[in-house]
Amino acid sequence: MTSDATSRVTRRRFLTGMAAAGGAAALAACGSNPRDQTTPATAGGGPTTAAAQTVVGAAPARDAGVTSFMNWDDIRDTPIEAVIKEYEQQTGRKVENVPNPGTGNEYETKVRTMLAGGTAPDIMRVNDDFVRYYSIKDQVRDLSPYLKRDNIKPDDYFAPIYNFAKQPSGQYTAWSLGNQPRLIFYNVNAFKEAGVPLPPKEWTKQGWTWNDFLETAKKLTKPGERWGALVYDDTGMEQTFAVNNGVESGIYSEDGKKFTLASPKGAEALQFLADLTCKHQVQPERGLVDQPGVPNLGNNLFVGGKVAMAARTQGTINYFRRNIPKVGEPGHFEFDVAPIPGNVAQKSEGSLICFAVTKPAKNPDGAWELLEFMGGPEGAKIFAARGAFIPAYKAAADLIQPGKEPPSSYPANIQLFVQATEHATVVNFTENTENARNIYRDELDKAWTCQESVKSVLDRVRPDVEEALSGKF
Amino acid sequence: MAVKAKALARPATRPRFSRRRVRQNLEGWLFIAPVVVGVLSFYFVPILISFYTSFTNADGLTKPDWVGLFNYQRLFTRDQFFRRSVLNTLFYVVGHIPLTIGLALALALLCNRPMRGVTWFRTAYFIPVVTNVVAVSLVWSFFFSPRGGIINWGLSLVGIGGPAWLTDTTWAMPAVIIVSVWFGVGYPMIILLAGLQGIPEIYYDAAKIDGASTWGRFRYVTLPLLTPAIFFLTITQFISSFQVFGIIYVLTGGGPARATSVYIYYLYQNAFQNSRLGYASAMAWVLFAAIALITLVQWKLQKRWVIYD
Repeated sequence: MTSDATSRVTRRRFLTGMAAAGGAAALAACGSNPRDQTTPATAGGGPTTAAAQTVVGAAPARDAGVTSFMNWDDIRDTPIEAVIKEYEQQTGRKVENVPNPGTGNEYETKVRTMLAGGTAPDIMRVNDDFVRYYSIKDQVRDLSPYLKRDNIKPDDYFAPIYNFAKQPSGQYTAWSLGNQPRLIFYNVNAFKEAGVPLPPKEWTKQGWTWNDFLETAKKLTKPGERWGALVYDDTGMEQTFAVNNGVESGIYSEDGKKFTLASPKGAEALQFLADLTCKHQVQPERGLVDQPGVPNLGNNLFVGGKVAMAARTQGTINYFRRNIPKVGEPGHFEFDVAPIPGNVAQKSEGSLICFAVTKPAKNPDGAWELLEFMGGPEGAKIFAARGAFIPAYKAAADLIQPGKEPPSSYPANIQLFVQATEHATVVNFTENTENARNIYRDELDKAWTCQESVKSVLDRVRPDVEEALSGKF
Repeated sequence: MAVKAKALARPATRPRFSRRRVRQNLEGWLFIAPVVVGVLSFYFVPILISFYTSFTNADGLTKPDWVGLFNYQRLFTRDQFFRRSVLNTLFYVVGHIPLTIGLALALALLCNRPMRGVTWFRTAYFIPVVTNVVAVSLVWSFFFSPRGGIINWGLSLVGIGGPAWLTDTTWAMPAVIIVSVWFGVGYPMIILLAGLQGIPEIYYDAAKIDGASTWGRFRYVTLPLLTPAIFFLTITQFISSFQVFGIIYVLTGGGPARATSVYIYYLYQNAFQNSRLGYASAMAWVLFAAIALITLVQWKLQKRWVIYD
């Protein structure tokens, strides 16, 4: 055979070659499920097996130096970015930030799609509501082998935060970096201007009951200029106000099967929040604080001095610090924090900052290394110094102090967040919580927009919510 | 004689399975293979999988179990939100289609007149069609803002206090319809314009000779001869209206209180937010059946009103 003969490309050969290549490509595509790329050890059993195998080095890393990381917010200029940079600097490893389209349902949709497709990053932010769900669905890895290997001491961490991700099976399926309690942020200047005494600086309901709160809001309200309060746009208030009105289990019963928010006291609690708008007109109407695709509407009303008191998580501090006009700029005001007003009880639902190593993670060891750094002494120190949340690592919580950097840009009573951790209430989450939540929250819009009473809404949706909670559908 | 006749009937055809013919066919198939493989892989196979999935409790994350007709049964017997999504969709369809086609007809008649700048107007009306739905919806969400929005500002000039369009259960769907009509009117306008320009001038001349007024010419010449185009638009608008999603997703997120939770939005919520892929697949098949049925009825009814010249 001559070289001419071998190199000659006839049309027939070309077409045959193309067909063969196309067929091969199609077959390759069909078989390229990323999950198949993991070793049998990691692809096999449950999360425990996978993580345990990884610890002993059975799972090959895609690139030992790169860990992919996904948060639901942009991490630029946030404490998370600062901690990651510190980690990269200290270890020489690289963290790849995976962008996402937005928070809330959009983030969850993306996460689930990525998990289903086997393309989830090594680390993903997990809404604390859904840690149980992802654990039961076997989409997150058990971290207990790492905790054991690295001799993590539970006593170094706040127990409620450390133990949050511990599943009934004993697995630790997420790593809680800390807690963001909810408090009332207030505009100090507005109080002074209205001649209203400032709220308490300690965790007490003395002079700070629901009635006191309402009266204060009324005094702070200037029709057409400023609303006294903004509470109902923070979904954490459902649990907080229900518990404080005497519904001990909060939104769901302890076994997670009953929708206790629909009890008379639960409905009464949410009606109090709705009435701030519908009856007393001391809270902005819903359309001003909740529009699809427009973030931070409520926060911006506070920043612009249009709302005098707003219930928010600790995570909002840095948003307010960045956006409230600085000293000397028009519109500048001082802000501080006060406890959640009390009624039968005085508790606050915190949001836990949870991250998980995903089941399809290609670099689980690197992922754990980063999480350990973020939650450990060095990471927690940075988070605490920036007032982002109450770190799970106890020693770092002492660093949460007002007025360090720059002076007076943090709330003077920032230590109330630490106190709030001691008065925390936690939702009784189950694997079915999300579906239940989607049902009643959509319907509550009718109460928030003053078209129907809270009781009527909750009574109507209760059968569907409880069906969802039962897991039968 | 018979042999001769046969030879005359099939002159000089090549054998049906000649090597050359097979090779030519093979080459043809190879050329269209990428498209065929694509259609089979990304349309046909998913459709089959979706049909199977509709009989399971698939969630996308774990192994699905066969649940038989449960999903279909639940849809029709105890899902109040499904019923509401159907009603919302019908509200949208009834509001959107007549307005869109009516406005498109008016614009087409205007743009069919000989006047200066008519090309500019045609382009202007068509521009929304080629604009990104997310961008359009976002801009309109600012227009609808209860405070500072251009719509309520305009209403305030004539002494009307505008509603909170997107957060009021009464006004949210009309707001969506307004946006979708604005967004979608360009395409039917072009179709109707083409239909108008296809009507022979001779009919109008005859009508004029018979003494028909302007209205009479429109009523008895233009409109009947546009019915094939209107029929086509009715069919396509029905199908697309039943599948409206993008505007709703960006503008209202299905709210407030599900007032704009249309069929596809509810399907999307089930599939991607509630991880009920099986249930959502059942919804997809119900929708397919409904659209097929409505289209069939429309097809049958066309004999009564569509006039083919």
